[in-house]
Amino acid sequence: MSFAMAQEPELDEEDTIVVSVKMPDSLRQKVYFRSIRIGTDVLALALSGSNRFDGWEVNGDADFGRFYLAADYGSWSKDEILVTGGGYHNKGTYWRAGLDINLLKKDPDRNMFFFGFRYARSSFMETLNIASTDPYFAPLQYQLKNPEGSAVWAELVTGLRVKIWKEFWMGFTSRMKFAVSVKGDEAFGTYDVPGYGVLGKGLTWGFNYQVFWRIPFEKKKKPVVLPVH
Amino acid sequence: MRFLPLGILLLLFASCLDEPDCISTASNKVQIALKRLDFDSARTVIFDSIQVYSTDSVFYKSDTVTVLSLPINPGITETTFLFFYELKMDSLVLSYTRETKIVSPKCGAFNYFQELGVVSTSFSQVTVANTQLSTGGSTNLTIKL
Repeated sequence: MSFAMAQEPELDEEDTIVVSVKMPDSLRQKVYFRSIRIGTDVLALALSGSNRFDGWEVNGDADFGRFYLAADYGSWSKDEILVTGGGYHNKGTYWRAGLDINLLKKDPDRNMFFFGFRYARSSFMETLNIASTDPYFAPLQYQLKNPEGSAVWAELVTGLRVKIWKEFWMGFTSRMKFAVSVKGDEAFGTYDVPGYGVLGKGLTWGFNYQVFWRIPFEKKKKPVVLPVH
Repeated sequence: MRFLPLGILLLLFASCLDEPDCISTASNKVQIALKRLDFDSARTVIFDSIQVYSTDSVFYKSDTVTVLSLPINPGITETTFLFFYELKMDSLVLSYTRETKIVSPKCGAFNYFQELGVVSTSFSQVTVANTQLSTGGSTNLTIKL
């Protein structure tokens, strides 16, 4: 005769099942259009009106989940007095378009820390007034004009977008601008491209401090009301 | 890979030299080497004077030289020089283009003269060695006389 003792199975470490519970990824959802944000660059507005710079910039992006389509449009004019005599003036408009990727996956407010890429174009005119003296010849006074200048370049961008109150957002964008190509600079070498900055430095850096208003297009789910018995 | 965003962020915030150095190679002086007509060696010339046509600028008055440095008129695209030497007078008409570049407001704008050419001359032989004028001192023209 044999007895079989009912025993609880002993679980050693090898039999232990570890279940890790991950926080839900708020952005790992279907890619569909949720909202747009429209804003402006506060720094450009703050600097405008000075003797040297006048400009504005409108920024927008469309929320597709983790990806955002971004576009900017701006105007910029600069006046510089040259130490060698004369002055420089330019005026033009520019736009940028590209894609941002939100790296904050689990933020319930959908705040953003993003990286992105932009393709940018600018159309501008520029004038250079030269007034200088020469020890051997008559004083020089002439004006050079590039009436239809244009430029294209690319940007790597990063920044933050933070929800402040209801649909009001603030943020900043840092830009590394590169691979600029200029056309229409026949009269003199283009000095400053609206939207890009001063040429000839290899990389150019930019910074925007922005405020946004978000317009949602996503219908909010109504809470389910259960009948009370 | 997870430090890539931080690295790019640091790169984007990295500062760079915004103010360029006010160093320019721009010059409006033509460097001319004087050589013997029969040999490729330096020719010493005693000039009574060298004048720029239609101006009162006079250079190398009673001067003995083997190389010349003459300014071209930056306001126009042609300059005519008259050379008085050894009881002779020769002329040299030079053409060029001007390209103006701004370095920075603090440095100013500079004129770069390029595409130097000889329009006409009464010298026996003038050759263009370097079409771009610069402060480097390289010879632009060789006059054999």
